Amino acid sequence: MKLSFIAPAAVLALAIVGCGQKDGSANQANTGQSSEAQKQAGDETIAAGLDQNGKFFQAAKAVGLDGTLGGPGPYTVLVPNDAAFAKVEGALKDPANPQNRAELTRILTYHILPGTVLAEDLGKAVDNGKGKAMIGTMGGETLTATKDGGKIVLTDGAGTKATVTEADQKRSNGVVHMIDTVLTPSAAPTGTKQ
Amino acid sequence: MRNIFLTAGVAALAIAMPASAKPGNGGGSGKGGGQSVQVQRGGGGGGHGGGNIERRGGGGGGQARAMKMDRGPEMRAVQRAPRQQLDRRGGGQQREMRFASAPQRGNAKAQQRVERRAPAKIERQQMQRVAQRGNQLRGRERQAERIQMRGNQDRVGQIRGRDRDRTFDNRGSNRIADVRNFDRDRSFDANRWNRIFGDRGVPASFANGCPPGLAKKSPACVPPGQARNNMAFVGAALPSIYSSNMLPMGLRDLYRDNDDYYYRYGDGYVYRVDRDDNLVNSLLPLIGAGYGIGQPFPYMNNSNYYVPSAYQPFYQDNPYYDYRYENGYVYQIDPYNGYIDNMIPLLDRGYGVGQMLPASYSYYNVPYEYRAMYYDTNDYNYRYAPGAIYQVDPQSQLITSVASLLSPGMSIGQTLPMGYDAYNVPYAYRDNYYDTNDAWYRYANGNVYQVDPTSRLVTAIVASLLT
Repeated sequence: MKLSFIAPAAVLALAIVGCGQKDGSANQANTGQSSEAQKQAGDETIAAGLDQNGKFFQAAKAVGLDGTLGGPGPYTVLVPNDAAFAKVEGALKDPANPQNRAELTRILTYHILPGTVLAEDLGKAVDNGKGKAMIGTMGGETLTATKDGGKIVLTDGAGTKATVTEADQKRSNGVVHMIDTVLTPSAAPTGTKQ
Repeated sequence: MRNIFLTAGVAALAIAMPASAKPGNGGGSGKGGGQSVQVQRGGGGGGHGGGNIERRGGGGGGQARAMKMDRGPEMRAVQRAPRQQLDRRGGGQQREMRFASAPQRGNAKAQQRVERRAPAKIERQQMQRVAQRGNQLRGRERQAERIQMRGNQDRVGQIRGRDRDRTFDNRGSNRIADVRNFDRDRSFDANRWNRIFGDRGVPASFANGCPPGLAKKSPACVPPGQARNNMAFVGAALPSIYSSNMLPMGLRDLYRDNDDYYYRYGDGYVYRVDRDDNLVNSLLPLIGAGYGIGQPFPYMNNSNYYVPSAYQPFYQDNPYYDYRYENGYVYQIDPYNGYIDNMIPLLDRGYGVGQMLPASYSYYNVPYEYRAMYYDTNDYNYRYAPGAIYQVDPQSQLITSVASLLSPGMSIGQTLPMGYDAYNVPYAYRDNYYDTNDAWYRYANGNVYQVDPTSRLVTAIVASLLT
């Protein structure tokens, strides 16, 4: 992973160098692995591969997750398309507002899964689970995965369903799946965090 | 510090006073009885409290010390604990200690002696503590029985009979008299509840049985994720949907309906409702099958309930506390009688750029396996809070970015946590580690774990992405 791809935060790139994470490839070089799959995934990080003007990236940038998605990861990111963002209210409507940051972070981390989960992995998990699989997210809460026709459907805690429209956009530090609805974690307590 | 008193009895008395005066170390405070008894109890309870504070990393300065404690092995950590408690006591304590200067000096020497011979001493102290615990246990068992039989009038006479041999008459300093009065009045009073649970070494600052970790949230005492619409707070009417919800079996002996109150269960809470006006008088947050403060934790030795690896730097079993995890909460458990002393919600996620982490995260606390990757420099600090490693500006202490997200981790010997149904191994490892009927592989927090598909137990770490 070339650090120069972390375009939106040149300062962050310096930080990453400064913190001793010399080169993202250290992750893969650790055990001497460099597999076909990794080569296939390419050089671009998730952050660099997102539409920089898109709503998801704007929201991620507002809470500092753009740097995270440019880091070693690996992460699996469910990216709602812009049309999906138009349908929601609340923190996502105004990502620039500092007051919304905590809520925005909760929502965005609900769309990030640990590791690299391809669509076929989700499919296998659903089959193993007799039609249903529980997928943990970085935010701490889980999504339920099911299959509808040939497509993967993810359901959040409130029952909102999102279908994966475009799967397996592979990146150097994970994979991106486009979905058609924004998923919401269950409500957090109100009030400022102490 | 307090451990010394157990062996150096003379000097102990003077120091025991400040120890037991400290509110957090409720173990010894407020009791009658002879001084020697109090010393021992104060020792145990004080040790409790001190260990407690350390583990949380909160409570003011001493950051450098706390760091050392994280890095040292378990044994060293125990040795350092006494010294740190001394430093961390507030101004009030120091004042008191100045007054008790003569014994203090002797004690300082005793302290030095102890440190030199620390290893053997620790063992002896622990054994002594076990012996004390025996005494305390008996007291606590009795107390537990009383609490359980609180609402059952038939047996109240029996309990009182058993305690007749105790001749305390100073009500304020005697918890047994308190409980007797408690039984007599047969009414629930939050202050008395505090005194009872305070005797267990739980801070008396609980209000209505609400642990401090929850009390400071807003709304107070609401477990995160449970602030649903049909929750009722104190003073509100009990929602009709709960009006016939009986308590889970394990709690029915603890909370019995009586002439003044009845208890109903709803959405993770026990509601105590006043019969006169049917308004909620008090509520007790429950998690999972209803583990609360002062109740035994049923799965002490079940590895399913061990603290997830991502949180283990914070919550390691030590001689003062065991930590177990269930449903988003870490339970702090008295290791000798298995009762829950505190619940720590772990759902404090969602700290974002531009926010400040709480003071309890103010020292370098990155989990061990990530330390080579994220270490403090002059320009950036890294701090861990559940869910992520944050990059923090050293001057302003504000979060500037999220360096890495962390998923709820897993530990070897533990069952595969919920949410890992799908294969998620990174590209570079997929060729070597793929799911078969004999083994599954799951990725979490820099490690690839091997899982046995039939038992769903995590059996090994097979690869690590971290240096």
